[in-house]
Amino acid sequence: MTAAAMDETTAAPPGAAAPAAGAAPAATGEQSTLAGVLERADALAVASPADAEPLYRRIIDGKSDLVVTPEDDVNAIKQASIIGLADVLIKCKRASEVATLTKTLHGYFATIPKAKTAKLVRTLIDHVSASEVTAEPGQSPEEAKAAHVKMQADLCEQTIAWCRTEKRTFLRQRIQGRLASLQLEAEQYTAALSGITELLREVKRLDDKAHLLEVQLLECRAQHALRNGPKARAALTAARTTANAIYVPLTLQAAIDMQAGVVSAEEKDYKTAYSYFYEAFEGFSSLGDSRAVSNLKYMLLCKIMVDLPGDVVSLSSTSTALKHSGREVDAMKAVAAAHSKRSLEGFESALNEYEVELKQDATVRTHLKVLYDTLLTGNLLRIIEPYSRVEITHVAELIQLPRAAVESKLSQLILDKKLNGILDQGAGCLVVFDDAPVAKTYQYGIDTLTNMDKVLNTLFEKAASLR
Amino acid sequence: MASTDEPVPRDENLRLADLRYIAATAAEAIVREEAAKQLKAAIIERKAVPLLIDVSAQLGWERDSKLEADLTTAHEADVAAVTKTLETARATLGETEVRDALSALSDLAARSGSLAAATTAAEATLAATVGGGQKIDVHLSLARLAMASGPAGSPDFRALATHLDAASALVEAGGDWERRNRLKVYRATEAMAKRDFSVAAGLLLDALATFTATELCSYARFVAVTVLMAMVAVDRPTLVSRVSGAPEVLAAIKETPPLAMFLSALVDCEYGAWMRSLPGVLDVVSADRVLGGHTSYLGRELRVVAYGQFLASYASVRIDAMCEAFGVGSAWLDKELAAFIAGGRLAAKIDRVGGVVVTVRGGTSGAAGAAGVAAMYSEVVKVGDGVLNRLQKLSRVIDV
Repeated sequence: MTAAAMDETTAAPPGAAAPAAGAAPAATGEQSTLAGVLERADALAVASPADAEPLYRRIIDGKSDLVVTPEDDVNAIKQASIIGLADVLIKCKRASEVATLTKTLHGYFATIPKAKTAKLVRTLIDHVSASEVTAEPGQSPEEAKAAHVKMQADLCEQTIAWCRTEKRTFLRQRIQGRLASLQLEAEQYTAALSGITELLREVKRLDDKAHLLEVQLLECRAQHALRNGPKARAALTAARTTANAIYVPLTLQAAIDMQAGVVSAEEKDYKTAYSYFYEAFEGFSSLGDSRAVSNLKYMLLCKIMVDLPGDVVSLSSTSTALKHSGREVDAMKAVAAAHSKRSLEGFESALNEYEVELKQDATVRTHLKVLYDTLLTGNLLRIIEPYSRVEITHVAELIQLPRAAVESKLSQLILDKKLNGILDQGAGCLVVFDDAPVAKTYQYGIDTLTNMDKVLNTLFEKAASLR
Repeated sequence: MASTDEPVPRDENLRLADLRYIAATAAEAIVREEAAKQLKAAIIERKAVPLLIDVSAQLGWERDSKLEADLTTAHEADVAAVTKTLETARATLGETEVRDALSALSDLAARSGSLAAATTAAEATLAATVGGGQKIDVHLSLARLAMASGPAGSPDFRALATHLDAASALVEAGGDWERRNRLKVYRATEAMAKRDFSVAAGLLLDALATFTATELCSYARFVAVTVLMAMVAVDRPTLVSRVSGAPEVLAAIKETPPLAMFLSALVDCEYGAWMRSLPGVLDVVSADRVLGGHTSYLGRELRVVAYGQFLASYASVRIDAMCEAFGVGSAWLDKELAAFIAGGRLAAKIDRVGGVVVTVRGGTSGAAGAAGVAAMYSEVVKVGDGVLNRLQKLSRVIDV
């Protein structure tokens, strides 16, 4: 079988018509039917993808060397083979060629019904995005990921341009939404936002509430990434209003809840955020969606941020949570343990050990940074409290952090006026002042007396008017 | 102009002024020549003879009297055509058409690049204009022309001030919010050209949330300039809350890459990174028409702010520690600090023998602290005395 397939590959795929058909491999005559070739190609795709490619191309190219039995649905087989070819290309790590494939298929798309085209294109894009990210030699993982995202974005843009010429509005809007979410991933926030605003205008006019909801959620994510709290909340409210008017499928409802949780957490309202994350977790969990784990993580994060690290352990041992136990949950448990012991080094070691789960998730990262800062400041102030003059090295020893870090943190605290003191690097020590209250008393006295002066002015005027 | 999503295009006169500035001052000869070429083509297209003469004198182009004569005739033909329309409008049509024709005349005068001609033409338009808003617009467009009509393309401050004052008066009398905010941006540009950075910073921060004056400068440039002015003139709490936390800044600052790093380094006290991004930022500044002339001044001001912030939390700091923090050599830092301390910008003293910089601060530290408290005590006594005296006088006046 393999040798025969090799014959086909040597006879250049696009024109692999007559001779290959004539030299029908594996003897039996049925193999030259359309459905038969598809079956063979599918079987090959699992075993040796590269060999399946020419078979798929044969079907797609539509050369009529293959026998078509009456019960074959030509279009269905062709579409199945297109998807098969895309999968094979992806497996052979040539996912970028899917873009060229779609281009050549534009003529074919004109022949089949619009809805089928839409479904086919979206499936292709889905498969490309679901493909693994593989790094070329010499590329770092981030670069490979960025290249992967860029390739998908290029595919989307090419499809959008084609849709504009063919006036396929429905498909174009869906792909534009896809492109916007890709741009968000690639951190091109302004581009994403301008695309989303334009898309919103169009979709609102069409009164397509389901799609409008998705785009509004995208807008919320984009505004959140740009740290625009008020606009993110506005987008979320708009999304909820739209959701009220239609039947919302469970995944979308859970996604809305998750986004609401993220926005609430950003505003430091951790209790509300917790309840949203819980809803989202239940929703995703019942669907078996992979986002359930992230929501569990965020739930535990909220518990830590409201200073209830004890709850983390109890939550993570509930039955629903146990199903998702893994590194994510362990990371949160480590952070909670460090927090309850007020141990900064525990915190640091947790951050280092579970780097992927903690540092690469933007939401978790920002909140943990705030937490670390608060913890450090609290510890430092507590240590310094009994002293009026203390050596910085001594403080560093007590808090068990490197001296330089302690000194820079202290200087920042003094600058932000959280610590009333001054650093004396010549003598290597910190001097703490405490005559600020006295100075304040004098200031209050002066203010009171100036106000009394004003009262006297008014009384003088009143006295003058009485006379 | 209201509620369109398309931003207003950049004013042509200002665009030409930018090209003129680049043609005169850019570092690379290729950039200068390219700008000069574009500038010449645009001037010829606009038939701006006075501008041509001015620029030729500045950039050393040869004067082509035939070209000038041709352009002048063409320009005068345009003017004659519009004057004819004006006469017809006056004779047969209504006031709006008269006003439109007058406005077209002043546009033509403005295109020629001569501030005097534009002003005279605009006076006629102003007389015919009824709406306060439109009058403000006329003054603002004259202000834009004035921004590039001084010697060698720098602003003509007197004319600029006249028109902006006229516009302010009209806005106070009853202008809408949009024009009020636009006027702030114009005032800020005037202040920046005069090196009045603190005034400019205040105005720009106010206008940050509602910027619409795209005829003056692009949004990215506006945000970049706001950030720079704020870093020089505004205190740290305001900087943190109103600038580095503002969503408008976060979104737009990515378009000027060195500035994004610059701002976050100052806020997070990462002085090494700050120093490293300073040259990039100053390059951006020197390419800007309004701020370019003040690059070295701005650079000095920014450095004062950074050193000041670094020294603010220390009573004394070792020189080599400071060198390490900023990533510079000790000889260079010594020279810098000496210059600023001697000029009174930094309250510190260098102890070269001990290798420390000692900050001098009034207020709450040590002996100086005690002196400060004593001063407050005597102030309390003084004010209290005044209150008591007046109370006595009052009791003499009121006879109960």
